[in-house]
Amino acid sequence: MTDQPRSCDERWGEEIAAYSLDALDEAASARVTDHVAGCNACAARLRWLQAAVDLLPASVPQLEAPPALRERLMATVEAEAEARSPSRPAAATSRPSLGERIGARFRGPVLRPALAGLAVALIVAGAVGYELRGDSGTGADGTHTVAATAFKPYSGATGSLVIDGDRGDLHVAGLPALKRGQVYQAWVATGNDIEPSSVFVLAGDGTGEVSIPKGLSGADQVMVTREPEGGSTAPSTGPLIAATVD
Amino acid sequence: MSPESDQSAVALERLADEELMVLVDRKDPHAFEVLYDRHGGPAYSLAYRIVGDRVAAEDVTQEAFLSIWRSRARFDRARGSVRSWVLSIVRNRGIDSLRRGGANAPALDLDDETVLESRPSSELTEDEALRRETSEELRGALGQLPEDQSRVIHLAYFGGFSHSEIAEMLNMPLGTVKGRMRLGLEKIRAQIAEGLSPEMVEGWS
Repeated sequence: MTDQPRSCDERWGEEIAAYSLDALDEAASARVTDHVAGCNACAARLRWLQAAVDLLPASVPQLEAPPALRERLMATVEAEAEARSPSRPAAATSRPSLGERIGARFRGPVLRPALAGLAVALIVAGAVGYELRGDSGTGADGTHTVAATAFKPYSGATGSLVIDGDRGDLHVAGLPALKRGQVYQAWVATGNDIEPSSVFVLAGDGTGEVSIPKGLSGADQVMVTREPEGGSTAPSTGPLIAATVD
Repeated sequence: MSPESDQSAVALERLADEELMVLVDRKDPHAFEVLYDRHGGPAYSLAYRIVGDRVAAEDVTQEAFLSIWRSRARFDRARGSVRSWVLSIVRNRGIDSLRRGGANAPALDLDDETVLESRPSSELTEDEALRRETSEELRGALGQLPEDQSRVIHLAYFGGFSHSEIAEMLNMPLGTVKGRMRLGLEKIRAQIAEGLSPEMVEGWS
């Protein structure tokens, strides 16, 4: 590390340390990401310090995870793996009409402000036509495809949701590149309820795809937000793109 | 379990983490099970350290592993080990849970039999013994840091606080906070290079 240019080390050394601890705000973090992408010395310093950060979890008292946790987790995983099996027929469900579902949205419990704002954004967008459905259709395999619509300022993004019973696959393109420590996350909105679904990152060509393992039967929309790595239990940003489930 | 299942289980257990992740990406539940068995203990331990509550720690750990199972946010080798990646997801979930719950972390009861430190060595598996030894040695190394440096690092990593929040909490300039983060991490890094046994570091990762 001693051969690093002094000026670069002075300017970025402390920022990189805070960055490795995920302790910078979004703007400062973005500046470090951009700098490290173009500076081999600072990229090396980040990797060097990251080794220290990666060992911090090892310093806590080590516990034995409860056996019941493993049982619950594997029961869910095995059930979802079984549901994905191509031999399993799609479940037939009785769904309320779109009007009933949108009306039901306002009969539920009061949302926390961030979630309420998200729901309002979707309703407003629908009122002014941002939720216009584009190309859609039914495939020979019984799946149903609906187009996704982007929200400003991400109007260059496109997407489609392929619905297969209670599950689906969302395909997107044109979303902005993710910064370090970020992922995109899908959400399933049903009435006032917004449930977290899968997280994903973009491929090298800027496209992304994510499976929605459950919850589409009776759902109103699938939407995508940007979240910290690993995802969140509630949206921390407004949606970049959304598809109406119908 | 059938002989064929025994064979495939043994084969999976021989795979490196990166190879397991390829199978997890293809939604292989058996590969996922092996992944959890390797990293579930450290994940739960980290979750508990952050949220300070066993039920919340179980929820955090479950959510983190389910997000790994369901997502296509695949592991990138350039960003470190699979364990580091898994634990970064656990940390993010844990910080999220902490902020939603608002609870302070209570002290850990070291007489609790689920704490590896409190169990006789003869009762531990090889992996558990290595985890305990690494944990004790690292805590010793971190204990040698000046208190002001370890404090800012702990607040940032385990508390999820930003450098500006830490500066406000500790009533110190922003530059001082970042400077102590840098010095503390450099000392820890030097310990890895010179003090900690390579076997422990590699065994943990």
